[in-house]
Amino acid sequence: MADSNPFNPEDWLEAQRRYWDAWMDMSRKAMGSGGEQTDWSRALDQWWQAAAQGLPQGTAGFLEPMLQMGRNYFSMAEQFHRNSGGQEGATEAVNKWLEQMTEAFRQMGTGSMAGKDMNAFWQMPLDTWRRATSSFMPMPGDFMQALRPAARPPYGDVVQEQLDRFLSVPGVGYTRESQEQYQDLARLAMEYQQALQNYQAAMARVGLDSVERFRARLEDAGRQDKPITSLRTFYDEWVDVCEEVYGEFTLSEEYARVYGEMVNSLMALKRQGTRFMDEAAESLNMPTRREVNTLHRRLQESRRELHQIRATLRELQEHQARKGEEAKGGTQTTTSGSGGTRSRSGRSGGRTTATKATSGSGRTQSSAGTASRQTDASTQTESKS
Amino acid sequence: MIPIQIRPDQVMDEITTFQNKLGVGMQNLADAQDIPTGVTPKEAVYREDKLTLYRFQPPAAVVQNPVPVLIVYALVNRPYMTDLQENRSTVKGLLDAGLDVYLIDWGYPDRADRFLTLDDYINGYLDRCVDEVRRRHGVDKINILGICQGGTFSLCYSAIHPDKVANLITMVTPVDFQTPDNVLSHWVKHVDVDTLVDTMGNVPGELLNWTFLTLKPYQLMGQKYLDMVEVLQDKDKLDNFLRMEKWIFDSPDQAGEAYRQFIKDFYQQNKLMNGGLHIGEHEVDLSQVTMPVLNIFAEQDHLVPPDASRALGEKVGTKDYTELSFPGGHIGIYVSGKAQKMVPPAIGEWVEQRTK
Repeated sequence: MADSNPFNPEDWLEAQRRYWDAWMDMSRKAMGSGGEQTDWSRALDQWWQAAAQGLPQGTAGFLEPMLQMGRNYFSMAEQFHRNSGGQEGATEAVNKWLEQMTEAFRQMGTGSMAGKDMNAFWQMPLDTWRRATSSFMPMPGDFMQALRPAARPPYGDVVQEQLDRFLSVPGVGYTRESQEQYQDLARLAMEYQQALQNYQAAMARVGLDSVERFRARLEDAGRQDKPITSLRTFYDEWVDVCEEVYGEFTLSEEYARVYGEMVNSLMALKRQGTRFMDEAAESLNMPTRREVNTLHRRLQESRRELHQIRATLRELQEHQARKGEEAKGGTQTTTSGSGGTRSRSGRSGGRTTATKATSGSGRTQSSAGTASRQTDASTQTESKS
Repeated sequence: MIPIQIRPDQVMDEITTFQNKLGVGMQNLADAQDIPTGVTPKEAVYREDKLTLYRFQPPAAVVQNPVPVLIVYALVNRPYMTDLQENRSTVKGLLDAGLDVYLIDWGYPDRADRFLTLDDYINGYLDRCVDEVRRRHGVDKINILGICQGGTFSLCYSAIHPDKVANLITMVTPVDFQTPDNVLSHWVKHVDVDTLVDTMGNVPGELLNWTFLTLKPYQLMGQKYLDMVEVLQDKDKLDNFLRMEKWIFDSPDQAGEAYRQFIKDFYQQNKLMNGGLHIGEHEVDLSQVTMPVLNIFAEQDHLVPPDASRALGEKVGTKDYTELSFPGGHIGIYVSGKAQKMVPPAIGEWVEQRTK
């Protein structure tokens, strides 16, 4: 793999250094002139597009999460940089950033995608969920998005009501069953989108709580005279707060409910999609999933029975062998393991050398953290390292 | 007052430094070789379906305990975590401590394995591996070391077949699945597992990955990758990072029926604690675990909280019960430097003391 390195190290480092120097130079000039700020996260994207072309296959995908985080980090830096006019402006920049985050979470709570870039970091659980489940969705993600229920009044409820009525119309005629199945599919798709939206709304509320707690933590740090002196420290503090608030929420009944609804509604939708696939396969005289499942189940049952029969047969053979030995008046033997008979004397044969080294590598034991309950309960001790 | 002391030029410097490191890191990444995992030499001694039973090659200079130990790993993730790299290997530590080590690799179930049940895994595959090890060594009983979900399997097995287990070691093993701090148990509370399995057949590894990542999403999906920019600067650290990354996302699909029972009986109904657990035709009663037990748990475990493991002490029938608490997390207990010094030697000594 080393030979396939597409980069001439010197050229590569020099080229990427020049690229970023140019961006930073533009940023500095813009800062000095009061002109429009450069877009670092866009710069990172452009740089990545150029750099990724030369990477070995497979590596680009591996780097994607890192780049995604880089974008979020750069986006935070942009907000910070744009809003601060000097050292005194840093506090103002944080306040603005907190306000923007609050607004982004409010947007997210309404199902709007307007604040998506701003709080991309917070959307990670849901984004990853969409990626993880995309492979077994019965229809493309964009199509599913289009089925998202309208969330905002005054029209949302009315539209929803009309859709519900339409999907409840009884099927008629020769294709009655088919009509009902499609209605079910559409209804299940909408239920899943509703569940996703509920999850997103719950996460948005948690995001708002995180902003408030972060503000409180910063103020507390101010009272304790513990200033934050780097962007990275600021980011790490933000991550800590997010984990803390998220962790508390995920232990709540509300989270268990929205999580359960999201999983259950997706499965119901997927199951309906599988029914359609089975019908299509059947019409083409192809095996269906249902039929293959039946075969797999029967096969597994047969294998289980076969193992049981073999075990019983082995026991009988061993029993018979023992009887034979006894009848011959031979030495006392005992069964061991699953196959054949062997003498207990074999048990000591495992030692590979006669003398045991007392200070063999790794033989020292730290007694810290052990708590023993021997026969006498009073010997129990417990200590933590 | 918000105490921020970051100047705009400082922000620009941080971004520039980050970007420079990213550039150097990409170069190191392009140079990276294939990362080997599972480093200790081993021999496949038994195969069945997708399962492979391995025996590790012991160091020549170390005297081996006559009773072998069988490592039973979880179905989720891959067992090479126990033998990740030369200086981070629980297996190597156990060999150095004088144990003759076997390990079950469950393999990657596919859709033909969908109807494998917990009975098939515990009273089938595991039991046949135990018999194979007993046969090879000419012993009636062997030692079992169960890890995480594999520990739960080992407990069930030991309760059903106590005549085949000399000593039982459980590592980061959930017993009480409904302690207040058990996040996973809380999350599956309202999940309709029947519909999930009936729909999906096998449960995809991606879904499990998502679940584990969302335990701490902002650290595991965000902060970690910013930290990686630092890691990329050092080739050794990069190799370690890549190795761990490979393991984290190397998640086999779960055989549907086994998953169904595991979630319903253990997570949702907590039957190991409450009673009423059946594996096949056998009822599991932990009071039947009468052999010596060493229960090892991690104090900062976010997947299997310490209390979930500690519950074992009140349930087992043995009078020879020992706990070892490790000051670290669920993964650190296999791979951290501290763990290498503490855990395998403690297991070796504990087993040695109980080997007649």
